Amino acid sequence: MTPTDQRLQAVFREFFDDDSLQLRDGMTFSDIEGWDSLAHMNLINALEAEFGLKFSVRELMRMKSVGTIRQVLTAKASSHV
Amino acid sequence: MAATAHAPVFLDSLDDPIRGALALLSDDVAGENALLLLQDALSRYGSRLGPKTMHALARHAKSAALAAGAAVRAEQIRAIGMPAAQWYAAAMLESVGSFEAAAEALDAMDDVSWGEERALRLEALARNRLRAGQVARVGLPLRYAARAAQTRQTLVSLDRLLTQARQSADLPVKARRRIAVLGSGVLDFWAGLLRPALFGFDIGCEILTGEYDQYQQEILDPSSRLAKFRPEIVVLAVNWRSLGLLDETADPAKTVSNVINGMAGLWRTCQHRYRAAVIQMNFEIPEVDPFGRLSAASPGGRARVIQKLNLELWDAAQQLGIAVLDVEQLAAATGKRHWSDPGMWIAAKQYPTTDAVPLLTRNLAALVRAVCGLTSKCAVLDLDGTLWGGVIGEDGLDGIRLGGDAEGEAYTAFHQYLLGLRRRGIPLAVCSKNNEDDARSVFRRHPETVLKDDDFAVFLANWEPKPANLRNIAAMLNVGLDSLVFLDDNPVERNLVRQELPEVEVPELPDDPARYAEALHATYLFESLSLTDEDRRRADTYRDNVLRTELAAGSTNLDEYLVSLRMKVDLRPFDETNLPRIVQLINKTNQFSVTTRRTTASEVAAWMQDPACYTQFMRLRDRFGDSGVTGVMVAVRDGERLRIVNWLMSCRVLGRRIENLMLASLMRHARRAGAAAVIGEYLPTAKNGQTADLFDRFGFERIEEREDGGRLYRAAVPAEDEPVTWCDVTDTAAAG
Repeated sequence: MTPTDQRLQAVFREFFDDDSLQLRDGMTFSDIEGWDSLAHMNLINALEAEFGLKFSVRELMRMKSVGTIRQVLTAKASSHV
Repeated sequence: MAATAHAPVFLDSLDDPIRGALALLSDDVAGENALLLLQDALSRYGSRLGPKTMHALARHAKSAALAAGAAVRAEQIRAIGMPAAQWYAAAMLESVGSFEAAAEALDAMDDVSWGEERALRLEALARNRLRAGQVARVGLPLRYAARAAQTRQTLVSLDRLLTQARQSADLPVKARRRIAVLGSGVLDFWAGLLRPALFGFDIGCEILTGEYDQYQQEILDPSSRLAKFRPEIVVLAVNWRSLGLLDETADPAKTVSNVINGMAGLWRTCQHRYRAAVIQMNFEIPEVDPFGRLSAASPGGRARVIQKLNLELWDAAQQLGIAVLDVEQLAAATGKRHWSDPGMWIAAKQYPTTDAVPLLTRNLAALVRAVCGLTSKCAVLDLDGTLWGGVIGEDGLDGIRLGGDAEGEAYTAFHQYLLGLRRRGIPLAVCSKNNEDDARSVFRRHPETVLKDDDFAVFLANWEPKPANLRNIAAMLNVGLDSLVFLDDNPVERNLVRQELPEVEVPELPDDPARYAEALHATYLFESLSLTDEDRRRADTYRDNVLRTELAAGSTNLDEYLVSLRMKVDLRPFDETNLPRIVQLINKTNQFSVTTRRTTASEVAAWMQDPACYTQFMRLRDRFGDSGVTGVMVAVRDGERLRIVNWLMSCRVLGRRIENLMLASLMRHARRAGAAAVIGEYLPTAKNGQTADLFDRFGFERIEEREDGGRLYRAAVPAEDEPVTWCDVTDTAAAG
């Protein structure tokens, strides 16, 4: 697990209030209880706060699963820092 | 990465050395070297502690707690004593289930700041106390945390904690309301967070969040979810985008009046169908506009049209008795580039930004507090360090800092702000540990003082504990302790008052006196719905009341005292001029109030037109001053009887037999209008105990007693008036 993955997992665990949550790339809305479209935007907000960045509209459209969120974050982190 | 035994030197150069140390530790959460590095970093850098560091420490502590011997390790770290170490230890203790010990560590932790950090510490304290089963001690830290929170994330955690706490404990609040939040855009991401924001002001609520852009249908459809919800307050959160304004409007006046008329129609429906109070958000003037700054110069430019719209909204709102939330001001205060985010609007119809949510919900909660009649009433001030720099008893008149240099001018600027509060009707009081002569000499003789001796309604400078003095101040002003806001630069005194008198509001003050006014403003404790002439006079009235009390102490009996006041009482039917004050009085009087029925301006206007309605307001003057409109009575003709719907008086004029005069006018009216009897009603509330036996005292007979404590009374109409000897009365309320 990279540090980014660890932080990502921590945000998911805190957000969904589930300390045993283990993220997998294939996970989508149906795999995590409470992950609906409204929760999704709040999750995006929590990610922006944690990583101190803003997602573009193009990125937001891609981020629909754990895998795509991880890709966007990793790409952004490497271009950002 | 392998951990070094001691924190490396380069950490010194980082903005946040503790997070740097945590990054060095990485996966090694519990090794011996990791522990040494962590202890070293916490003791070297642990006095600074920002919210991000707190989150990172808590997360790390959670993983570290999984290793064996975590409880022992937590105690070792706690012994370091620095705030960061206490925080880390508390998070470990919580993870291993030692909630009581965690709560102790958090309680003992120095309050490192007064913003988000304070909120995080108090939230953790409340959470651990809840887990430890100390449910009675959860409410206060939760309330203060809600007031301090600066991020949406923390409000979300507090909301969750509040829900959990409610399952095991009854968290008492001063008022409860059903609140519907309707409007344009997606509202769910902030509307529910009104719950913690309101809890911060001691108000409980049930929230209904409107569907995306459905506010008109929801209000107008009598079978909507909204109708079933029976809202007591409707918040209309409509943002500028859904107004559909063009960059340049051909007929700006018509455009503005169309919007206002459309809104006013919705307000009236809310007021009449649901008997709900309405809070309408006004409109942000967007920064980005194709016309640039000329958008405000061109007659039809969008910026200019929105400015006009906002101005007319204030007027319409005053006329129709609704409240406006000043979103344009909140957006400006936040910075418009932080208030809204074009990407989040386009992708998710989210407005304003996540970062803006705490300011938005806190301001809205403050308005709801005003709607509930809970606006704070008096500012109580410490002196040394609060109204000037230095200590008057030691430094003397020449030694204290007040005016003159930058520090002194910061204090005179704060004087100016407080004087402004006094002018709009918030009385000021002094509560200070000082010799009274020393303390008063500043306001009497210091060349730079803005506040003068007689600007204070009560002046208590002595060596009694402050809680005792605060009790006295409340008693002398005849207001509840929960109406006082106590300002003191000394955190020890603040905490003492919070512990002894949790009802008193005690805002945090920053170190810098130049920021006192800003800090006091940002509590929103004095937010009220409207300003009337009575408000502007009120600070004088409170001061005069204290003088009256002193006169009373010198009189041997009540009759003599009342005569010496030389009162003039005017009893008149409701009129247009006094309508705003009458509505205000009906909606905020709590103590001397037999039914405490709240009403809207339009209902009161309808009573004025109704020939079956008897309306009376009371205005009082005496040798000390004009108290203004301070009493209201409404009765409705019901066959042979006149039934009292509302009867209330401001607490400022109690104890002067004015109630006798108000009732005598009603009886006179009943006799002239040919009614046989008057029906009185008492509906108990938490605060109107003093009117519980009011009708009994006037010889009414009880004709119905309900289980909820409510009672109906009846009295025959007397054949003639009793003579009034203790004051001058003019009665034009009774039929001629």
